[in-house]
Amino acid sequence: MSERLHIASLGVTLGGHRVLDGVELNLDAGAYGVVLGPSGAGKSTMLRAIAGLVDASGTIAIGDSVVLGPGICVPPEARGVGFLFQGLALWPHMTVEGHLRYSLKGARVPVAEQANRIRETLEPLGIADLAERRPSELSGGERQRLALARALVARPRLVLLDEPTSSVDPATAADVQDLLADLNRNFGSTILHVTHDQREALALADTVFVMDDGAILQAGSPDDVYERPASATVARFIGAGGLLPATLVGDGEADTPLGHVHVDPAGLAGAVWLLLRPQHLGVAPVGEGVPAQVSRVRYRGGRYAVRVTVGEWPLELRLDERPAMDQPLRIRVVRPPRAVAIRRDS
Amino acid sequence: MSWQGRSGLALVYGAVLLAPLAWVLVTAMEPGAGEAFSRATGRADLAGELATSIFLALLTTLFAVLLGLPLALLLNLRRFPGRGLVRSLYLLPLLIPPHIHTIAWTRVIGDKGWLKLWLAERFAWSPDVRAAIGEPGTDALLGHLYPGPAWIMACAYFPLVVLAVGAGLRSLDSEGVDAARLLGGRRAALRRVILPQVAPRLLAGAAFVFILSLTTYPVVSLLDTPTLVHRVFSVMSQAQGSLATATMVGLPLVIVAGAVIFGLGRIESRTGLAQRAGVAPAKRRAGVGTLVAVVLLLALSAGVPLGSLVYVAGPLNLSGAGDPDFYQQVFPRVDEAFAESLLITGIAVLALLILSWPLGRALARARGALAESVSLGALAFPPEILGVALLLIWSEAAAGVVPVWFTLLVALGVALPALLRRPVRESLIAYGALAGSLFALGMFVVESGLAETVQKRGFALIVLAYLARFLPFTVRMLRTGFQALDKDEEDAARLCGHGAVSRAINVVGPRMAGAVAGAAVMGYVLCFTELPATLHTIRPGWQSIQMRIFNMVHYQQIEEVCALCVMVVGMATIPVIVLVMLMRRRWDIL
Repeated sequence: MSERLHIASLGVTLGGHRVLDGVELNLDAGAYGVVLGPSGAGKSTMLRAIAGLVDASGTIAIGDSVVLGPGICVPPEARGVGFLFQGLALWPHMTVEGHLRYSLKGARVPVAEQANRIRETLEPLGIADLAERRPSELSGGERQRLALARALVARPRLVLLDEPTSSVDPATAADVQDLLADLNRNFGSTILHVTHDQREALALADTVFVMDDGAILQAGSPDDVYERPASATVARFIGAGGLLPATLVGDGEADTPLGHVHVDPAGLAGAVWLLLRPQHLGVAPVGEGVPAQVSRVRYRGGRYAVRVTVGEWPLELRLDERPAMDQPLRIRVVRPPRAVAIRRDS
Repeated sequence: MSWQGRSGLALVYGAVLLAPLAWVLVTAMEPGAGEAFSRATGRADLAGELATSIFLALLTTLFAVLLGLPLALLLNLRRFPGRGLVRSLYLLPLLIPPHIHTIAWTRVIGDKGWLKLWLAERFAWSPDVRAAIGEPGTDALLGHLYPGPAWIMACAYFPLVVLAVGAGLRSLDSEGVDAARLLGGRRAALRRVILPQVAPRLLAGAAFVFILSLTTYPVVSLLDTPTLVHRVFSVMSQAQGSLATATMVGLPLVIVAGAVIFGLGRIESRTGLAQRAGVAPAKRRAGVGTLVAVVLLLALSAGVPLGSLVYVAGPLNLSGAGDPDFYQQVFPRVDEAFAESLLITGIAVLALLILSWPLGRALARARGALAESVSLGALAFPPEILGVALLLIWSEAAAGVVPVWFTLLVALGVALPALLRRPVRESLIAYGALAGSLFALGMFVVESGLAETVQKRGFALIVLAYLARFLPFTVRMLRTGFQALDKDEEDAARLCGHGAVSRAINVVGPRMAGAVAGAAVMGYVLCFTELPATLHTIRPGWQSIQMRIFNMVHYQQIEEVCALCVMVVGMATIPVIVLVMLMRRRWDIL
């Protein structure tokens, strides 16, 4: 059973500090939403507010039932959400099966049905043969799966995942990501997942919510958010690249420190920021382009991520060969249609 | 902390602690109180006695740190054979009541002690040790420094320093210590990294020792040391003295101890003690020097008093108190006091646990110096003052009103935070179950005749005194347990749809079992060995086992005293040994 999530004007104040302020978020039933933002953006607090673990104001509705609103505050145990805590919060004195049984008992699942449910949950997660073990007898990845199983076993209306891959190694994190995608498909649960890992967000999400400073800055599909960031902040946070000041001078034309560039004006005019991803830039033939200074080179498996500065503006491009650190380069825009204009007020 | 939690905390502490104090202050300000004060204190040098109290407490603290700090460092940074045994043994002095420490030490180094007798016999040298031990009868310079009482109290209380510093050492980040060792060597790591980090813990342990020694009566009474606590007791004993006057005499001690407690609260809230979780630094293998140091420290602190008791009342003295027949003669004279002391201790421990659970939980979630200080507030009261205050508030005139008022306040304080929390249904079920259990227990008590005994002996007042005195200890133990319990674990259970009762039984209870057992044993030991507050709150005609021992000392029934002391120490030690064996948990109570 999955439900739509609707959040309006969500606010949370902790220790006199406004952690969340006017958060608006909508997630369709069965969709996989990822909240992406830097540390301290308020992502985990938002999850806790949805679960009812912190005092909040505003409106939260899961499906047709309002769990937070004027005069309404449904307690956490009655909200029907599954929660994967960042620190996992496993119970050291219970076995794997004990965790799931306790969760099913809380959801008032008949005892006769519990064994089936436990098997159905543990098998896809690959820990069915560990049912008698306690958390201290599990590896990091297995503990992660147990926490996930506990969050899913009662078939909650909404699953909240707080940085589910932050405490495991990259290989396990990739496994967990695959698992999450499968679970979303197989169980059809509505999932809201918070992370600061943009690759994870772009890989998993149906909808990405970019969050900073206690507010949602942009919501959209991964393509949208990556290709058409709504602000300079979002553009800087999502993906590699750089921003250049530009002036829109005509239909799809802009004046930039790299010269005249074709752009998608996005309905704007005048002074704008121009977002240039690495794939938009390349080394210019002799006599063309503008001079750029190499400031950093990183090997990225077969190619080099090269940070350059054009005047005072940092940009990034990908090269097949490693340039010398002090080597003067001449660069140019090679795929101008993909550049996007952003309002210069941020 | 939520406002519900704060109000519950305030109500319970108000009922147990602040109300008696307010009652005392109001009584002390009645017309004629000043005159009564002058009459009762006469020409007493109260300022001098206060100075002596503070000096004695400082000297005790110094001795306790000298004993406790090295032992804590050795126990937590070195490994040696028998370390586990030593970890249990160092708690022994804490299980021996201060008056028994005094009795034991005076048997060894007192004016009629074995050391002096041995020196006289062997070397024909008979030094005047009265000044050193603090016994009366000399005005020598040493007599004004009171090293004897200070040493005896330090031996009784130094395990608090070991506990506090040990907890600090175990919460250190082992990688930080390793980094310091790599960069500057072992000694520099100890001096520059380890000690500065455990300094707040050391201060906390030292503050506990200071407060307890400032307000301990039995030691200064038996050694006749002119302290303010002693004066409080003598004012109460005078015909023209009054309870209110005695309280006024002791108020400076409350102020000094209160200031120390407030300072400790600030330190704890600033440094976030007990909220860190670390991995203890790796322990190095100990050399012979370490083993000798450990044995010496234990022998000095626990070996001497225990040895002297066992020497008199153990198998070495089969012709006297060591003879099993001797015990068969002594025990029937005190069996009723023993049994009733155990009964009252049981009731007090139950009450301590019931009150400590919500308070410990509230404190674990709270921050701020005030909450820390309030949680320690009861320690500021000398036990005599506490006994006096409770006697005043429980006087005959108020007897009909106060119990009801008190019960209501405590019940409201405990229940309020949960009753105001949603969902109400769960809270009602939880408190309905609690009320039902208490009712069943009450019925059992009434039907079994225990109620009559409790009523006849005035046990309620003593239980109240124990609650007010020892609540800070058990609250802190449970608070530490709650702090070690990740709040997310409880939230996870909540999100699984479980209410308060289910969470308490299935998640919080099993995780808190160690802390609850530790608090129960600590409560048992403290209540069973308590003397000064009992002295002032007990009804005429009944004596606790500690009072019997205390009175026997005055009648010079030394062999009986030592025999009873051995039994008391044994009864205090058995549950601790059982707990240590069963739980094998660390006693991070401070």
